[in-house]
Amino acid sequence: MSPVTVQAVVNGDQVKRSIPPNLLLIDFLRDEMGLTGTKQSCEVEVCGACTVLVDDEPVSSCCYLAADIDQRRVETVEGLVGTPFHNRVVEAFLRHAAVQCGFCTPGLLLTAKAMARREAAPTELELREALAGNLCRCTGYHSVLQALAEVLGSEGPA
Amino acid sequence: MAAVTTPERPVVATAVGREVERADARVKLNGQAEFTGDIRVPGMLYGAVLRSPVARARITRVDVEAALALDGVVAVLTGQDLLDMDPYYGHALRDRPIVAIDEVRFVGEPVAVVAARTLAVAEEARNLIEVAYDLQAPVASLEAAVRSDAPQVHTTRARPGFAHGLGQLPDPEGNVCYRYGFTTGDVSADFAGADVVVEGEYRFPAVYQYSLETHSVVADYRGDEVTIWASCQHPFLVRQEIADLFDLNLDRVRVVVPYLGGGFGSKSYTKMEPIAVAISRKARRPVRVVNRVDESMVTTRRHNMVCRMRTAAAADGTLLAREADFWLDTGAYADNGPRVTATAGDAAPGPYRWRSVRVDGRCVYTNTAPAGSYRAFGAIHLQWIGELQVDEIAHKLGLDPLEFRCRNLLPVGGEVRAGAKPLDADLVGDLRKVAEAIDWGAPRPPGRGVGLSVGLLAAGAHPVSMATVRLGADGGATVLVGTTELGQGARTAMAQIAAEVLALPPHQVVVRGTDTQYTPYDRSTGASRSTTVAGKAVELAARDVLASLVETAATKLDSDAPLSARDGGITDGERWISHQELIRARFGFAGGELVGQGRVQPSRGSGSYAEGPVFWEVCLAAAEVEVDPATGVVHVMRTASVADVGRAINPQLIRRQDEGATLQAIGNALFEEMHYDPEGLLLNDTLLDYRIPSTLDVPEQMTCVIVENEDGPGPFGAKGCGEGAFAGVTAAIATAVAAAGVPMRELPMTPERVWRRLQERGTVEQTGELR
Amino acid sequence: MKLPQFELHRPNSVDGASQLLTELGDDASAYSGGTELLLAMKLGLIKSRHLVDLKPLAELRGIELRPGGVWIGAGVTHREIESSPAIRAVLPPLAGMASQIANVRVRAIGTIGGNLCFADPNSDPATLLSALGARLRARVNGESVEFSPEEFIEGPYQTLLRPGDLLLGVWIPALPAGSAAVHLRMKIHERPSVTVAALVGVTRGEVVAARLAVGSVGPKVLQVELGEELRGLSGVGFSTRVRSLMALLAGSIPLLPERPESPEYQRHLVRLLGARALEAGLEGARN
Repeated sequence: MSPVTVQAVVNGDQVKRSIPPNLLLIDFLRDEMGLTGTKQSCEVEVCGACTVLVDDEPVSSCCYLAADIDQRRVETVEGLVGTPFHNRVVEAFLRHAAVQCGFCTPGLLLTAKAMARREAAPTELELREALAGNLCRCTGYHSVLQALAEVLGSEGPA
Repeated sequence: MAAVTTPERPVVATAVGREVERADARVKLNGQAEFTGDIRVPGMLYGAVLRSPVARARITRVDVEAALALDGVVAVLTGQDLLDMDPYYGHALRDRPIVAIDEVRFVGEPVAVVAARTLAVAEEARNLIEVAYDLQAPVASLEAAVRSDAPQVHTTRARPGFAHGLGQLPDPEGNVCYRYGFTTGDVSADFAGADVVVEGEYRFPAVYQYSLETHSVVADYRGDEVTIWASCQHPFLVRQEIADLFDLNLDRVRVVVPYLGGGFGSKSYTKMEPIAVAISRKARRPVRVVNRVDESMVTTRRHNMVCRMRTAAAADGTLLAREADFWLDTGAYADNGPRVTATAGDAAPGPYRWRSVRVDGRCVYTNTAPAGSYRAFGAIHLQWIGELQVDEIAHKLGLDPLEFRCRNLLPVGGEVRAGAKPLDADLVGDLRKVAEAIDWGAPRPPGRGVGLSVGLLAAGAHPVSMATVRLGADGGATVLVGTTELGQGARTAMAQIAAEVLALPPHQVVVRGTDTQYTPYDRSTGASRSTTVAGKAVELAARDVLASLVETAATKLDSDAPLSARDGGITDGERWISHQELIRARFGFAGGELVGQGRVQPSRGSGSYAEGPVFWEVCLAAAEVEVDPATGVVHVMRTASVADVGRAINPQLIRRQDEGATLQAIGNALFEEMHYDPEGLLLNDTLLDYRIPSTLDVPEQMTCVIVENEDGPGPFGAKGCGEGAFAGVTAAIATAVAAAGVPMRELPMTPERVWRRLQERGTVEQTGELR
Repeated sequence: MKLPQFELHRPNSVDGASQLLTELGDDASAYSGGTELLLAMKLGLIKSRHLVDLKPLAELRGIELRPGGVWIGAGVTHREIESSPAIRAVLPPLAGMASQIANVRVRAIGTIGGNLCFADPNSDPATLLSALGARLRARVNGESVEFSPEEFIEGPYQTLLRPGDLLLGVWIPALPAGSAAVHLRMKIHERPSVTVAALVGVTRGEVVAARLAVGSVGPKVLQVELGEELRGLSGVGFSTRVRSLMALLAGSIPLLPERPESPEYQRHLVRLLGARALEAGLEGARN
């Protein structure tokens, strides 16, 4: 395999690496960059635990070539921390106790971030549909929907 | 000496009963919470497991040469490496080898393990291992397994495990590895004299717990010691099992448990730990083994079941008798199957005043993946069946299902099972609460149905838990307790309990993850026992510290007035001294700490938890559904569940438990099911084909009614919760679908099954409209 | 799960990509969004030793509103389709369909061309495009050739493209005046179990054209023209005729083997959803 060079901005930092072309983005982030906040679960693009943003779009990092982040911006949960959006999310999630085991949480936050960027005040149905690709086995989703409805400025579930 | 009343005496609110912030939420929201798969130990290798592609075969040859030759491979473990030890384990029956020896018994059974410098190399090497199998016809279903001429999944009898808690284990009969039953009263006479009898055969599916974090272990075997970081719910039982297997002293096995990415029972007892330890021992290096989802799906699952039940009643609306025969498919190894069978047996009658009951449950080996614990096991298997029959009788007698139940339910103190703890909950009161929450009596349009369900779950497991509380010179406390944080909020609740006793703000109490090297013994995290049993140990440990504080304060205050903890100090009602001040006074300098111990142990009998339970967990719910007669799709509109918790340590965490259980119930009731082909191959082993509930499945309304009668054996009158709603809501969805006109006898109630049932009943025209 | 080893190629033109794919033959796969390809490679279902990356190719990008219809480049993502103001205005059912594919992550990088070329039978786009009368433009043996979706997809995971051929984009004619398109599907698992799409045209309240496409149940999309059968009908007459047509169609449509749902239930759903789509099409066309 001929290595490929990637030059990307990961959580605001310039990164340049020579990597094998078959390296998955999740392994690049977790193993090469030490960014273990991104979690692996289903490995088939269903659960959303490995969601990260590439140029503001959410992707499943388990099925995304690290080679493809060349000349792009990548954002993981570690990069969210300290931003005004994250501060609002943290407060809302704490208020509603919308975190349990926490394994789905980082991916969920990045999906929400992408949504916040493009949708002002989504309806409850829009919110449910946008989050339908982020599975959580603990919370029953209700508290998550309530918390994110608050963050995104929309009507939450009753 | 005059009492010191520091000017900065704080006001500390009571900790118990408040919705205090989760102790672990911020670190999880920041992506900093450490899970086992995040751990890297220096020199660590990566493990990959070769699993059997066939359900039943003799292994005639294993060739690892090509795998070992691959650059980066350090060791390969096969059954041949286990000849110098007794490699069989299992807490109920020691029927399972660490990796297959001479034969395989299910598709997915570990046959070999590779340790290599990278996971990619380990996976590549695994694929180079050649195994020759001499195929045999598998026993791939319950029906096949109980035939008189069925091949035996196990031909030798396994030794009992160390933690089954079931007393004397009966002899196995064919593929039945455990049997649990009881009879009270004269069942034949009561059925003969009954005015109404309903009966049927019912089926319950195999389902997968799916905690997002798969089974993950890092094992580091050095000299005669091993350290294990594991996503396990029962670290002390894992320690014991590993010590037994590898012939080590308990204190030479250290189990460290970081945060768990969910468990729900799937990480109870011992799962991937023996494999990780064995390969680390062989490689002489630390090794990390992390399952893929398809591997975890064949590591453990919920038992599928066939049940025949019948119920008798008198025309005046009195329930008379019930009989239940059931067969639970425990797969190729018993795992927790015997306990699941016993708990199912206890749940079979339902909490009614029977004249007679006969229950006979069998735990059956098949050549499928082993089945073990999953939230509300046993109760969830039987409750929906019993409750469907209760409704069927009510319907036949023209009685309101709510009033019919209230008339027959056991009263507080009633006998649930001979020799067991009497009923410790007000079921009639609870049932009326959920009925009200769902507008029980309100009229509904066609296609809608409202259902109720009541049941009990023997909770608490074996009540042995220890805890230590350390109060530091700065007035902050650390709790050491073996409960694992798997998302339920245990660390938060434990902090609240200790904080309440010591009158500290909860955030001034830190609860650490389990490290068996330092954390005192706790049996397990499961069976809704943590708040009740481990929480009691924490309360007692905190009271032990409090006693020391009071002792010092009594000297300092020179007072006969009763002393109590208040606002982070001790007061006699007028004067107040801070904990810091008391510690300083005790040790004579600004250091030292007070250490308290708490211990919970069985209060009677031999200690077998068959004699329990610690408490009866109430499984009680209501549901409203809408059935689309054209497609068979069932939509759950509303649910209400009861958390009969004695005392709510943290009401918000309790509601989250019931909401989470409700969504799992929707999955189990409506669509989750593992499909096996006749050869024993799991067909839907990815989330592409095994669907779990998403945000689109959340009911419009989920109500959790918290009942606080302070009647639990736990701290401040608390008792556990979190499982009852799973059994309760599943059964309530079944009774609601029946009330909508579609009585089902098989879960999950998939669109196709519901549609077929409607076709059979002839209530649907070709257009798909209800007549 | 790791990906097997492969070489990653990044040609800078469609010509270059085509040439590379011709040279590499069966050893290579065209790589676009990767949502299906990388998954299949991880699962060991596809073993390509070369991936030819089409993402950077500007020629495959872009949504263009042109007289008489919309051109969508093969490299356009589902997300771009669902949020395109042009498509939302001219072909709302297409935007609606795209917004329901898988989840936000798959839509963000999965492309319309990749979806069609992967030819997973359990998928929505080909069915709706078939009902809409879309034309797929491909480069075949160096020539630009057009196909209907039902021609293009020959069977499960099989298109008529051969190594070196490339799908360039999709031409979708604007809905004729007085017509409406409807897309319905039933999702029981992660991917759709039944997909139907209908295009119905009316003049003065009566049907003048009707087309139905059915996907996700059979090896390929089945398209039927029902204009003759339904012409001039409305109201109860239309419904009665639709029901008998759907009973016929559902009874005879080829089904894929070994599905979680029984053939009987799948045929029932085809009949039910097909009738609903046609009814909704008529309703929509009248408004």
